[in-house]
Amino acid sequence: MEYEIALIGNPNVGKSTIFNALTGENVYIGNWAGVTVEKKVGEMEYKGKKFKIVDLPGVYSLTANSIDEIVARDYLINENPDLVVNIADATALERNLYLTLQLMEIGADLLLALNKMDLADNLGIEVDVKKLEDILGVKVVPLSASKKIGIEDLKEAILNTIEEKRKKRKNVNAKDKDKYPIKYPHLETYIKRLSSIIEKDEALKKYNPRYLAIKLIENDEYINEIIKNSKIWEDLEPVLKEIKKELSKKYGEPELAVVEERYKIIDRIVKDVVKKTSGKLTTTEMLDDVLTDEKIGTLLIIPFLWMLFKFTFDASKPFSEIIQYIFASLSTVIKTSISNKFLASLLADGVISGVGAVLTFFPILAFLFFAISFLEDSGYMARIPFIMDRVMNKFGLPGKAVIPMVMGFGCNVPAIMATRTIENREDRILTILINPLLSCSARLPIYALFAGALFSKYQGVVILSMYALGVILALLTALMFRRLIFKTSPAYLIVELPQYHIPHLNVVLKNTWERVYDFLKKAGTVIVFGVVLVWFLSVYGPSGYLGDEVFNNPNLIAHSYVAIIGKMLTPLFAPMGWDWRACSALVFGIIAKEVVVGSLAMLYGAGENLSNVIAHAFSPVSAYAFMAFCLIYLPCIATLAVIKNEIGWKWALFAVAYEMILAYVVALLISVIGHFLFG
Amino acid sequence: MYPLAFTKEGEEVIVKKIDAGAGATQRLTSMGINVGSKLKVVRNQNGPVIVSVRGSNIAIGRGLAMKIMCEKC
Amino acid sequence: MDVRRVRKMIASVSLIFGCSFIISGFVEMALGVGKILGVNISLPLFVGDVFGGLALLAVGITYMIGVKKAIYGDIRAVSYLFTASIVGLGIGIVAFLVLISHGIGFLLGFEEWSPLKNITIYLILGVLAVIPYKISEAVRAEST
Repeated sequence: MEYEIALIGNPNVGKSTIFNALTGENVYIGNWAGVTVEKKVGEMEYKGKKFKIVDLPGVYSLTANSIDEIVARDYLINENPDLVVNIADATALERNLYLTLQLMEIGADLLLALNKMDLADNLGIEVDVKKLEDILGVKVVPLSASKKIGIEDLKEAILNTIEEKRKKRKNVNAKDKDKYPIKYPHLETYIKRLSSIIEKDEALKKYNPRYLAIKLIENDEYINEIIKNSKIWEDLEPVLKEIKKELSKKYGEPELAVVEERYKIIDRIVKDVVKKTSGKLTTTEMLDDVLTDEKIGTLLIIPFLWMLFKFTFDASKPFSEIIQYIFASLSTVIKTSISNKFLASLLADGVISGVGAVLTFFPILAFLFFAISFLEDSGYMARIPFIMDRVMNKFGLPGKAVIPMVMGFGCNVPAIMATRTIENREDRILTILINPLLSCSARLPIYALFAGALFSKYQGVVILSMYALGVILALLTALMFRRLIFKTSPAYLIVELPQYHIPHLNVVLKNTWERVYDFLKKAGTVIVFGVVLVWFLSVYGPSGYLGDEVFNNPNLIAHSYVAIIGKMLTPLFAPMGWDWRACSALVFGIIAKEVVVGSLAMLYGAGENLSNVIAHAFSPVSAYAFMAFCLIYLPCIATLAVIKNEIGWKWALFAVAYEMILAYVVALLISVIGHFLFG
Repeated sequence: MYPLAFTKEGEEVIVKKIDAGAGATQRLTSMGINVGSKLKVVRNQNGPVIVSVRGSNIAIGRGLAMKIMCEKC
Repeated sequence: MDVRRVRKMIASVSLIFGCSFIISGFVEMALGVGKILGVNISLPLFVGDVFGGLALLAVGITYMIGVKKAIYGDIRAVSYLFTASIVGLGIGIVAFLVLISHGIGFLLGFEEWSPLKNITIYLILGVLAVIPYKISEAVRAEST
């Protein structure tokens, strides 16, 4: 027999720290059915009993305002877990109790875990746990998960609470009336009238009648639908109408009545339970004095970005080199030890170089994700939308779009996944559509190659200009789409600014690993498949198998399918002056942009001295146009797959079409203007 | 009664009315901002407004802050 | 502690660090711009990174605002000293990590090692930022 336990709480209460502390290594990560919200399930063993622990998304309430809230509510209603552990932040108990009350309304078997007790202590906040327990009628466990204090108490309380509930249920067969010690004085009569009607319908048995009654008063669409489709609607409708009319007179709107009642109760509880002595100037106050200042806060984003990039690209370098080295030697070993030439070439030139291409990016991504998780856990990340909100609004983007945009410089795949924090769907689509225009790290090798070959003196400026071009195009695109497609203005920013703290290494590492793993799984397969495909198209031609010498012999590769594809495209790109090799490389770039450089090396048969060959094959203007085209055209397959996952095929195809056209137009403009200026 | 966007930093106000749509109102409510709640304005420059409410700091976009009507307390 | 003395201390510490960060930032940016234009001047400690120079400049300006606030008697001046020092420390830590990674690269034979190339202005200023950080912590402890 396994007990099922759900963890729920507001964002930033340290829920994932507690989840990690309770569960061990065996964590299953997937998605909730039908939506792209992450679902984490872990296992816990305590005193010989087994527990399945489900991590619900962080929510502030259980209305249906976002996908996260719907997921949490549906789970609680339909799965009916043995115990719901509500994690609350002791430093902001007032706000956290709002969710607690809603959980009690649903009728969940509840346990309250009061986290961040150490921080509350530092802030001079005292919480009377015993009193809180008495008022709520729910077991309350104080803990400081980040300092590993109270975890054992929590485990014990989980077991005890479940077993006590079981015993009680055996004794009292009917639902015990004391289950709801929290009453809303001004609403109780209405709730009783409604629930007495609701109880008549057997089909509604799985819901708590009190919950349905409250939600009806609150005008919750989802519950309204359920009741409208039930047998009792005819009896209920006139009663509900009358109640709503009465409440409207008193409160303006009936839903405000429920909210006000909840907060009245909370105010009373907090008054009894929480004591505050004024503390000294806190770290958060000091940092926010500066970091959220309109001018200096904006200015200080620069050092943070510098640190982010320096850490991501410079500190990860030796690890990329190690991996490159390992794969290079591996491919030599295979070539010399496998006698079957076809198989050896498939493994060495295809699979190994493909896996190598993915894994050389692995350290950069891991370092980037580490840095981002670090900034998130520290609390700084939540301030960036606040600082940038006004600027982003000017381009029709919500403030929260900043974070995915910054992450886009690393890799567009996780960046697009990071848009999930944007609640409004139109805002989210817009933020996703512009993301591929931000130059991800995979495009850097292309710029480095061409800038090094043709602009050796001005390398830095040329590469920087590519990044700038990407940002400018992204912002202009956002502005244009906002005007033409989404005619609404971006949704208002409402975001909690959590307390700053020194990030917990284990939380950051775990987040980093989850993101890296996600990327490897999604992108890895695609890139390996793509490189193998390139291999096949290179060693085969209309005349059949050409042999693995193609990779050393540019004359031979001209007979392959790759060459044919490239030659077909050449007329289209004639105005830019690119030869068929450049065009075929572009085709392979669809798989992943980093494949472009590799394919160019293969197609020109150049290897080490690629940059010399490039310097002859391109003019500065055609090279610059090529770089720009590589920046803009088609998001890579991995990115495309993520776009499709997040917002559907329709938008993914739209992104492809738009970016192809934009890339062609920009490259053409560069060629025309370039020729005009430099002859 | 005046909008939250017109308050000064350090001022303490009581929310009297929220004129935003149902969605935004609900989100404000779930984060602790409803009619009758006491706010302390922490930051109010040209961008969003930061208020301290029920023990936590919430940033509210300027447009929305125009629709939250308050009174000095 | 005497309030006026505290204010004076905040102002002078902020001024010293503000000036060092601002001057270093400008030198770094100037070298960086020179590098882009093809004029290579090398100075010990400086690497010629425009972006990094801007980062140092931003931290320096934060210190200077602290100086201004301290002179006008605003007790919140300590916030600027504190925040600038934390960001400065962050820069130092990142520079240190980059140094370690260069070391690993050297041990594995991927690159050459020269101490001059690795001891940078970022590392030095960043490590020195511990001093104002400690001072601001001490001031905060007094502020009840």
